[in-house]
Amino acid sequence: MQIKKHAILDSVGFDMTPMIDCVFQLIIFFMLVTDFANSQIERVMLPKATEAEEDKDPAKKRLMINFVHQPDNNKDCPDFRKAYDLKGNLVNTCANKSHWKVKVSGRIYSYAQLEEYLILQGDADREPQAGVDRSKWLSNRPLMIRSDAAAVYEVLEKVFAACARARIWKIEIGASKPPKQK
Amino acid sequence: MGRIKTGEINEMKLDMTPMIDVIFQLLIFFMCSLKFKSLEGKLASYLPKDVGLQNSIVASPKLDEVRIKLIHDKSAPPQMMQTRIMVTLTAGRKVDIADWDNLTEDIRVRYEQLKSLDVPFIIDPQPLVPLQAVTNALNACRKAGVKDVRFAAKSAIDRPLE
Repeated sequence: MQIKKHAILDSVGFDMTPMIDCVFQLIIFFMLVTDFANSQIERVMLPKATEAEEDKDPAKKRLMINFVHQPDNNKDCPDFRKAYDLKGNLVNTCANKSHWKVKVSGRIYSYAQLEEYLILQGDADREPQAGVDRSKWLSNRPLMIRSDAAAVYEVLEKVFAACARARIWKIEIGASKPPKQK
Repeated sequence: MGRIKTGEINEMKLDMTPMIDVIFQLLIFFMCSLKFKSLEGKLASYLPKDVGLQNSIVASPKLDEVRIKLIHDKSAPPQMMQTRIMVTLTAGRKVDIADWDNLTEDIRVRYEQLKSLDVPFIIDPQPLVPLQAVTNALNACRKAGVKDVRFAAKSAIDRPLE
């Protein structure tokens, strides 16, 4: 009687090549997703300040207001076009108030709307003060103002006024630190 | 003596599986350790709690103040950004400042003289002064060591914003 020889099974291998492709897809996905978290930041040319502190560990509840130059109907503004020289130094300003828009999380606010917004946000963290009417309690919410360096003070003054009315006093002005000169 | 058959030499195969693990480790290490240098900074300019619209705390009025007036002047040199600087102590003599470095020095000297008196430094820009000039003035105060810096905003507070 013949005993049949069973074929010896080859070892079962696991092809890892597609796994590399999957991993690369995941890495690219996560690298792109993290960029979407900064919707609060608009593209502006911040004023330069050598004494600017590094903005590390910002408070989670910090509010952010952006001042951008955005004329209606994307009209060209010759003053703003000539605002900066080739080295990025400010040489001109745009004094047209209607060209400067306040933006919060990508949305344009009028100054009246901004004041309402700040009052509402400030209400989230008011400091109780004995003997003082609740509407006059100070708010502990910090606020960062990121404005283009070519903006005129008149528009910023309105934001300060809105902050004062909303009782928000922890104000930070966004600035960029120029590189150290050798 | 029998012949010795030389066996066929099997192809050398490189197993790539551990390579993937090594790459994972490297990727995770660099993703965790990578830190982008922050190009953005901030200048703290906390508003005073005891002055402004309808004070919450009644404080005695400050008798002395150092006022840094920023005046819009189109004939100013380019580095001054159409701004002229004038510093005055309360009702005292007004001093014209030539540039931002001189402003820092002037503020430092005044601050050393007035430190014990708790005198506030007020930046008073005209409406058409650019924000960069205002930031330069604030920067000069910080560099000189002044902690109590305020902004004059008299024109906007008393009337509706729009």
